[in-house]
Amino acid sequence: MDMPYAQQRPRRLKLRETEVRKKVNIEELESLPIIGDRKHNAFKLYVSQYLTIDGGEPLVDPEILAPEKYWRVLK
Amino acid sequence: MKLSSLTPNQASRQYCFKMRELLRFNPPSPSLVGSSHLDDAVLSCGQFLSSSPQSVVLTVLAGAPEKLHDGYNAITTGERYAPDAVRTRKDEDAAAMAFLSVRTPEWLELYGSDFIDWHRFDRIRHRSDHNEIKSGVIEAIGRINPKSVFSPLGLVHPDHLAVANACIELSNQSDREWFI
Repeated sequence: MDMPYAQQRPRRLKLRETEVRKKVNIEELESLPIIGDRKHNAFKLYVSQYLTIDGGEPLVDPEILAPEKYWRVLK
Repeated sequence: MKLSSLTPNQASRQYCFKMRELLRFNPPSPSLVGSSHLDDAVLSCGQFLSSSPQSVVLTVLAGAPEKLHDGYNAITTGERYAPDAVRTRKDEDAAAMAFLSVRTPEWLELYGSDFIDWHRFDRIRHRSDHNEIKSGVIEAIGRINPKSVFSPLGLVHPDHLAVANACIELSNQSDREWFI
């Protein structure tokens, strides 16, 4: 699932899911919870993309810590 | 145990258990995770990647034209020469993959929308390189030989939509397991 757009725009997410279901059969899977801070620390390595506010503390997007959502494509 | 020998409650519990098993996210390894830009895979799948060391991330739109460019990549990296800006972002990508202990990232040399010369009448920006994206992903799948492949969902950004539409089309023609 495309983060952070999916968390910021839940209606677009629903619309897109409907659109994708017209092309392929998919089933929604159990979400993957975020455990620990490894993902967050990995994203911090994208220094150019990890925005700073007024040269101060890095902006920690809460979206990064939202559970990951996946669908399986059914054949 | 035969289903017929169970009480209705037991049968119901067994059915729920089976359904949970079916819906569990457990892709076969190794996985190829398709990414539109050089950070999207970690944003969307970082937790999965951190527990899946055989995975490879393929960033589809990781190319740069050989010219000075004042766009998003120049602003965020401080590099006006496009190849230098993208090199900075690739270095970040390689560092993140090493940190997550997954395999060395793969990059296709197609351009992100930052480097496409949109006409001013392109009010709705649709990319026109659907077949090039498909070819690049097919070639990478053949070379990396994953058992499962991940596609972006394709939200909001025209680059995400373009890569997702190409991958979703491929998923229909592929004998591998696909996830979105």
